[in-house]
Amino acid sequence: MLYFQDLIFKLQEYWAAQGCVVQLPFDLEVGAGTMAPETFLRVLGSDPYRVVYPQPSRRPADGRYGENPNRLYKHTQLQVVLKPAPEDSQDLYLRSLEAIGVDLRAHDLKFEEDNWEAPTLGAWGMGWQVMLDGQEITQFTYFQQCGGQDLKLISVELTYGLERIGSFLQDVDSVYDIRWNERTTYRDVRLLDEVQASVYSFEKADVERLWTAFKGNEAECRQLLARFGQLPAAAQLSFPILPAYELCLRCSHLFNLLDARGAISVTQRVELIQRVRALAVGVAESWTEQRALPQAEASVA
Amino acid sequence: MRKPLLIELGCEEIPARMLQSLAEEFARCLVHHLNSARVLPPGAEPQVAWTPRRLICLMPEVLEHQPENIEQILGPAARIAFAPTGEPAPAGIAFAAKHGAAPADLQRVTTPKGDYVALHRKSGGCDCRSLLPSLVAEAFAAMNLPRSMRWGADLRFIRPLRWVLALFGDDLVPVSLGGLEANRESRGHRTLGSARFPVLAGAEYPELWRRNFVLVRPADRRAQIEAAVARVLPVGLRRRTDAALEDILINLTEWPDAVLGGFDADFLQALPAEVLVTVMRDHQKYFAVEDDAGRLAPHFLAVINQHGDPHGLIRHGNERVLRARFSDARFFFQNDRKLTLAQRLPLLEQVTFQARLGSYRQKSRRLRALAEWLAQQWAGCDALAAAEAAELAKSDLTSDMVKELPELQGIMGGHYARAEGLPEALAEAIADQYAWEQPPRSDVGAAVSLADKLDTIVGMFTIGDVPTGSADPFGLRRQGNGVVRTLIERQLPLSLAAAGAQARTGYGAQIEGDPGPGLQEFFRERLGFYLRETGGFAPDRVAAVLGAGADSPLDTFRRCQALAQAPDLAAVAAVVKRARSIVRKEKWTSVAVAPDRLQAPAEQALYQSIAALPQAGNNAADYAAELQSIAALAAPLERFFTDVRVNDDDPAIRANRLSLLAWSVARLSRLADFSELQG
Repeated sequence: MLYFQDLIFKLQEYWAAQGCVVQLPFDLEVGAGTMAPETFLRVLGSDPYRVVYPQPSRRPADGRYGENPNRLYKHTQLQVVLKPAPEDSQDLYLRSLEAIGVDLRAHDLKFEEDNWEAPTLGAWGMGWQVMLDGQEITQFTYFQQCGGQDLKLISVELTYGLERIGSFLQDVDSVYDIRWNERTTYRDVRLLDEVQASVYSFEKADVERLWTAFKGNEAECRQLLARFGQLPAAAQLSFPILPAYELCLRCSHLFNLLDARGAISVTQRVELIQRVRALAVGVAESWTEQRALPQAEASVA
Repeated sequence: MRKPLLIELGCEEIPARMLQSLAEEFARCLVHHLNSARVLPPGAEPQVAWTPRRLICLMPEVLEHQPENIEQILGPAARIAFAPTGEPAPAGIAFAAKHGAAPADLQRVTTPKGDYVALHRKSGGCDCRSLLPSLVAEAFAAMNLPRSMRWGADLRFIRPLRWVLALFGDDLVPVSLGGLEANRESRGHRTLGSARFPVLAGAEYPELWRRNFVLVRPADRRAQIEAAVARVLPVGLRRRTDAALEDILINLTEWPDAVLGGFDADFLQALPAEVLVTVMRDHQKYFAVEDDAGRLAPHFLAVINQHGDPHGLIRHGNERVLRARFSDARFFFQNDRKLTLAQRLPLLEQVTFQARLGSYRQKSRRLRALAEWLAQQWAGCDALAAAEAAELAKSDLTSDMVKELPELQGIMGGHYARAEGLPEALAEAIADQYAWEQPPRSDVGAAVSLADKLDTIVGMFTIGDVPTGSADPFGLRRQGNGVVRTLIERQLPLSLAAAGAQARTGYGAQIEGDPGPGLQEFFRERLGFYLRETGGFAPDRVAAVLGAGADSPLDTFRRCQALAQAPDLAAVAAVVKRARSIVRKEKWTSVAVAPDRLQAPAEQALYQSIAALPQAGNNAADYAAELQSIAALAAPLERFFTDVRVNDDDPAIRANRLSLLAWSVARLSRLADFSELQG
């Protein structure tokens, strides 16, 4: 049996062999692996890059108190970004399925249209949901735009839904029955987390303090972006754009929490999405500017 | 000599919904470019084929040699192009130079307009092989694409282009498309065929593809699906027909096969059939299975892109996914019922109807008032029931089931209403609010459905978000069709102007302005569409009745019915047309006729016969009688025109005669504008 942790190992190993940097999960709350800077910022500009990382992804509104066998407050994505997209992207992907033990000749595989869009990130792409025996197991996307910018170099993004693939490989009806390793189930590792996160986001989260936190993070991010714009090029190089992006991500998660808590009205909702988007677009612009500074190359080396 | 031209554009999976139109678009562009190079024999038809991974066009006959063509380029008149000596003059030399010819090439030609200088240029006569690379490349570049994408460099296509096969007879066409060089290689089914296979001769198409588990022709895939379904279905069970789903599956597979799966029969009791079918069709792309009596059976048919499932692995996997989906739905169905539809109303504050038109809570309040008003227009319609059903009609938007299966909005509301013990009339009205397939089953349901659609249409027209050309993002035309159809088929009289004004009142000061004259025109178009397409009435009859008013769809429909069955109206139509053109020409508006001033017998007769027209009511029988009487008026009208001079010297008499005509036209045009009739 391929344990849940083996699934992560095998995919990391496979993609490492394809030249990917094996990154750690991003250490802030994100709604999807795409939001981690290793995707959001790396796909900008024209430097080639390949990366793989597992990413716990939080969607407060999807919390089900651990009672639903397939729906989670926090699910685990395995994120792969190949920049630029190689010609054999699809074949590379299919071989990754073989690497985790899927015999493609014995199963039904379809690439079904599913274009991806993240309004809060000003990002969209075209691609498919990959269906294996009727189960969506991966989102396969050719990024077209990110942070409101047309991308110079097109990246391909593969997002594996690890719980779904684990349920498929282990043939279980509930994610909680997935064997994490020989002795431990997904339930043992994650159930408490699901229950408590649901209680917090649906019942206990203090709406006032969430608002205060949202506004504080937003103000800090805006201030940073405004200052960056006023600086002479020489002082821009080490200016904290990455931390500004982290502030933007916090806003995004706080927005999701407020939403799950039912604290956002219709008109506010549209406005808040615009506000978070403005931060993401501002970060993407500043980041691109910063990377284009003549000394940028050298500073990394 | 002629040879077949075969082009295959190999792509990563193209979305099923656009596959056919793209393949046809490529063939159209190819035929257009081959035709403009004059290398197609007359009547040449392309053979178009496609799979998710390829667009294929086979031109069975392309000329190997392009016919020669002599083109004449006419220049200035001969008298200025040539000197009197016959030598080329400066104007002639300039003309030759402009076209890259020598003065010695100039020729004198005689045309009906006189003598001119001309150049004759021979074109064509090329070997087609030398023309094809650029023709194919131009055809590819000329394709009209829906939203295309980039995948590298500056290439753009619908999905990444990965290979190009181009053969003319057995020869490779050395064309480069989107940075890819064509070659003699195609690709098989992803897991069944050869990853890549060489194509030595064009004649191997399509058999070689079939040997590599690719059925290039959609008709072949359809047939293979039908055969597989027949093979796996046991006696006593049949597939529930679903043409739209079948079209999608044909375009999602290169080598389709079918698998019969099952699910726990308890789900048949635990969940409404609509939920089961929607989950199977919309989420899993499975066909539902029913028994001979049409009852849903605990089975499904999955169409797979694979050759068989010998170990049942695919069936097992699909059953597992469906079980999870049904379990989710069952959980939603139980959980959703913890709140009543009325308790959900405050939650609608959180659901946007339209950014500028506010939330669904606001909409549900408007629907309550509008449905009540509508129900009051119709005798015997329970206005309170309509108001209550309308207010609750959108509550199910906040249920988990509808969030998961949005296409069941309304249907679920009906189930939840019934489950919480609301009267059946309310449940039915909520369930019937969309009524796309057939009109609501009751007048209460009609009031709810119409309120919903009128509110949307009037709101969108007021904020100026109206359908234009092929763009109709909110589906307003479909909603307008629903309004017209419900009123006619449920035989409900309604003034659209009054209903529109009432719907506008519901928005109050929330938005500014009014729907404008476009709304009336919009409904007139929808009504015309219904009368022609669903009613099957001739276009001129439809135009005639619309010309006499389109405010009440039911009344317009009845007039159209009467007109379609009326006796020959050609004669009266001709004279009415004549009368109307006189009135229009004089811009005569008065219809006040003074009977004592009518002198000539013909005008007196006309007056009397029109005054004697039955003052008919507004039902079908009255309309038929009225049209019959009108048909008989051709004679007095014709006599009037023969015997009476409108332009009498006495201005008072002239005015009276014009009024008589205007009055007659108005009186005769109550049901239809006869001038629209084509005889």
